[in-house]
Amino acid sequence: MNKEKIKAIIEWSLAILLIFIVIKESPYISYYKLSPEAAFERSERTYYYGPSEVVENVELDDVQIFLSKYKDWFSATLVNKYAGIFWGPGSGVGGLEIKEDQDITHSWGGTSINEDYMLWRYYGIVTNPEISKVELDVAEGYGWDEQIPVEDIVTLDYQLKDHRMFLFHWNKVEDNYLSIALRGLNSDGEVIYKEDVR
Amino acid sequence: MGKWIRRLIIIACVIALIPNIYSFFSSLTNGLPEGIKEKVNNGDAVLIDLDKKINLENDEISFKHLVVAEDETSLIFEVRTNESGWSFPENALELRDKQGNTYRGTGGSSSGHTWGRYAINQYEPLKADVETLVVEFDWFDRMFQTEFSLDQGGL
Repeated sequence: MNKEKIKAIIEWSLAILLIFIVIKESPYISYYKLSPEAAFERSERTYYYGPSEVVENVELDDVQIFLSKYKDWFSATLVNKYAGIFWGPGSGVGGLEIKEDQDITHSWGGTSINEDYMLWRYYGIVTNPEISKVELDVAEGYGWDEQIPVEDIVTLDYQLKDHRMFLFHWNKVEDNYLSIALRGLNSDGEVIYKEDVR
Repeated sequence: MGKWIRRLIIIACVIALIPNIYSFFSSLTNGLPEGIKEKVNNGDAVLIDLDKKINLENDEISFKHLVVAEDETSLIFEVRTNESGWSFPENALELRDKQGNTYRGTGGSSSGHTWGRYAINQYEPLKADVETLVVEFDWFDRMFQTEFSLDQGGL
């Protein structure tokens, strides 16, 4: 064997060894997962929370929302897509306590996904078994202290499923909604819960 | 051709491992932060070495030192993580003593490493005649509790 060949073998061995070390150790690689579910599970695990039961998965552009429950807590956790193929932890991990003495426990959060996408989510869980539909009144472009004419109010609705969680989401860059009121309706369409959420 | 491919791989891998190399060397010189060292050397603070490891799921919390000063109490610990993700919720560690006093957290700092985190939690100054401190972690349904004697460190 000539000198060149030996050098080539040593360099290739070093290159392969380094690839293994990078895959195992580098924080750049180990931070990401190839599936959104794996990223979600790891997000909860490293937050010392869960594993929660995913009741609904909402797939959006470059982001997924996991509506989930864990013991006395509920959450709407995000996982973000990177470089088109990788998934990593996003905001909203860790739950909020379900208040059993209230008809509805809810929360909201805004997360900037990219320049044109500000994901706004309004979510919660319903404990009153009479409520079968949740409505959220919103209006575009108003400040929280402004008078809003009735014709400018838009009502979003969510038909509850067995898991009793609900989610409204929009892109705040496109729809600059102000949340006004949250209502719970029974199966006859009567309002049995109403809360000013402005 | 092959020469450049393998060399490119080697260079790319070394770049990807820069944080690991940095963490390795910084752990060799891992001592107390300068501010705390100075206080201890001046006699303004008492350094108590702790040697207690607690397993939290797949991670290990390793309590290193307790620095007792007149104006604050510092708890120094490392979190050795099994996988990368969220950083340890340092403010979920509560401090109290056996006499029933609780000490409010007043601040803290932490630095990330490839193996986990090095953290300092600051609390209110200790009351007089405290013999045993209790550190409690309370986070969703996860909790642990550990005690330290101020006489000889770990109990």
